Amino acid sequence: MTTLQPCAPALSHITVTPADLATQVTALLLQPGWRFGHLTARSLDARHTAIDVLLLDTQRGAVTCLTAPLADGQAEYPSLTAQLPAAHWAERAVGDLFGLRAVGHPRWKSMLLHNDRWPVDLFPLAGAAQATTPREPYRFLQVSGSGIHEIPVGPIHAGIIEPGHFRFSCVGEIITNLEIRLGYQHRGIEGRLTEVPWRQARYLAESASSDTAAGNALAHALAVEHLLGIAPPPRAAALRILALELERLANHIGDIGALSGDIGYSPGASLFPPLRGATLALAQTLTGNRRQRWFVQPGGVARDLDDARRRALLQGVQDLARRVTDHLPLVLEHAGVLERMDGVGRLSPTLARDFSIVGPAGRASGTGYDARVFSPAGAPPAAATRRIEGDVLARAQMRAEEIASSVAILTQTLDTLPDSPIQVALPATLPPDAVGVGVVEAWRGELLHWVTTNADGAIARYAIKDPSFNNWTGLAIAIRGNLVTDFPLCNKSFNLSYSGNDL
Amino acid sequence: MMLTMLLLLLVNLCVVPLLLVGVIRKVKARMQTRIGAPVLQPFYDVAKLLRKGETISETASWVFVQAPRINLAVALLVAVLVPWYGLTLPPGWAAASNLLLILYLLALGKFVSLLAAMDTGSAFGGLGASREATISLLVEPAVVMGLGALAVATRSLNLSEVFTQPIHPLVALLVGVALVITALAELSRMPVDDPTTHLELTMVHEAMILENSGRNLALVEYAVALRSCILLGLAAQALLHAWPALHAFPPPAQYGIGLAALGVTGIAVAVAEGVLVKLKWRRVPHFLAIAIVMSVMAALLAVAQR
Repeated sequence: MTTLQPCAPALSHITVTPADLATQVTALLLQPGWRFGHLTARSLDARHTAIDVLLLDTQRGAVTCLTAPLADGQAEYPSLTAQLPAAHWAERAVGDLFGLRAVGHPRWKSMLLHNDRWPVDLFPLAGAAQATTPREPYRFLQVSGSGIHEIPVGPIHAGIIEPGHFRFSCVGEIITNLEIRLGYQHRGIEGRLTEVPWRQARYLAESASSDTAAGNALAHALAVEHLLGIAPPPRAAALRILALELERLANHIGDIGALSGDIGYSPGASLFPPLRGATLALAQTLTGNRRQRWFVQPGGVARDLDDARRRALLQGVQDLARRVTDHLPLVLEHAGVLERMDGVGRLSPTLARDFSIVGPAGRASGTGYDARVFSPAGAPPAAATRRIEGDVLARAQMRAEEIASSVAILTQTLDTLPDSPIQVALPATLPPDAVGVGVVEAWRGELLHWVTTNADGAIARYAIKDPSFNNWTGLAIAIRGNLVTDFPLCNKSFNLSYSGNDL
Repeated sequence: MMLTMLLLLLVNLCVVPLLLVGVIRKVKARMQTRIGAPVLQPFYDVAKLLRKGETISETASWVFVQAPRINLAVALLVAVLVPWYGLTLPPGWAAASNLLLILYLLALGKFVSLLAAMDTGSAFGGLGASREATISLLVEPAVVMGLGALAVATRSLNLSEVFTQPIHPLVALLVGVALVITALAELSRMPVDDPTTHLELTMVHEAMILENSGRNLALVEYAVALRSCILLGLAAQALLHAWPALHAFPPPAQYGIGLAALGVTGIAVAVAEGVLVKLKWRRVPHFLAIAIVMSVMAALLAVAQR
């Protein structure tokens, strides 16, 4: 069962000048299988900062980190967005958190910090004596023309969901542009993660987006283990897969129910929530709580699975699989449902690739990327699971397929649970000037935890890239040209996290 | 006899509408394996809303405040004028139950509620009003043609006469089904609008009344229940006329049959809502076209029968 070992991705480091950054990154990305991971900045000392770019080699499961140190007193760097559209939100986030301006960014504006809430010269992650450029007032994109009207929705919505503002510019019922403004949930998680003792950091890291607690805890654990150069015991690795796949199962099942609810299809809306509840109960059997908090930790897992519970879990997964297989055709083979979802909110494969759309939403638009390639542990079920339609229906069908593959992974893992300790001892300190990256295919898609230590072996920068950070743009693009009435359905088909994006 | 009729009329106005809403909700809940709220919940809700304070948007004018009252008054008037199975109105009132008068009183109510929705300055109000107007536009030909078919078949524009005369069963059936379909659209029910959704952007009727609260909202809810009763009642009566044998029953029994037919129509609506998927907005005209075609067929048949 060597394949169960999550492999630490091979890491290479390149230092470039800010002027060369865009060229270098674009050149590296031309290699087959390479993709853009994340872009952020890091304080080198009180005066100096550097722009960091993370690139992923999905064929070898390796990561490359490019660092571009900025000159003393410089608060600007050439933007990558023109060549690499996927970096557009990352550069805006750097602008807010570090006060560094990406020169040449086509839609430069603040993202996380709102001027009416935070002082315009507050840059939470910037060095004490670092040069900064002040934040400008936020301006929504103005669509002009006869008959254009705007519909503002949020930040507070009907229903129990997180806050975010949607500004629709419409011609009658047709949406010509949607601008999504987030940041209402910014609570400084990344900054705080550099302050708390690293051994306890997992409690905070897994709350970055609580519906992805297992995913975040796993990405955190992988990043810390990568940093330390250790690997968890095989049994712990297998138990982590169970946690991750149960989380995927619960959320995908919940999404199928929620999609049914949004089109007023009550059989789907009433049959799937109990199944999600049953999945959460299985998660409780495994981890001791339904949301799988405090389970995955650096070096292993917090709780072993004895044989009685293992058998109960296996039985539970099989029962659940039977019920889901029973109910899924009621939704995904119902003519009315198919008609309603077909062709709505189409995201073209080209745009999905350009904006680096991840997870089921990306695979529904033909990307074929599943971050489980980085951890043979949760080996991607089949390379074939992708679609090119990119509409709401494709995203729903993608979920149904992943439900089936998660059940298969769970059953297989439970059947072949290796015998070993569940935890390895952690060294007392972190290595200095090191980088650790945790790549996880959470239920929404690729989730990155990217940790860099300074010369003292303390965490200098802890960056989290939630899958929602990529996919919010996908939603804004997918809804263009659709009807206003179709937005909630399209939104639900992406089902993105606000807190994971705002951090 | 007169007193009984008046009492039954009062029951029609005050008890049946909200009871129908309660029954529809209960059936829907049961279909979703929920227990559901009590059948009398709509009464409790209206009573609760009547005791509550109101919040009125700063940009709203007197139109917003008066519209629900006008709407309710119109709905009450129509509910009195519309003939009811087994219920004989005093001769003077019956003369006023003119088909065109009733149609355009209903349209007046709708017009007033559209004005109120646009009056609040909320983006959703205008959105809902525009959608509701679109639907009304499609509903009108179906209703006019359907009731027109009955008028042609019985050579009378007076609805209370129309429903006392024998009609060709097929005409009655076609008009009845067409009226049920238009009632679904007119009352913003599935598959045209989801009355239970919380998603403002998809709403039709609910988007129009998002700003209403307290007593204002109570009047709106009551008026909507009355309209449901009127439209589904008309549909139920048209369907009942497909069985001329029912005319043989004495009036009190007929009233019971009428009530049962209304209940069955309501339950049918609830069952349909339980299994249907809300249509794409662009598909709504296709759905209403069914009603229009049925009405046209009924009208042609009625002309041919003369």
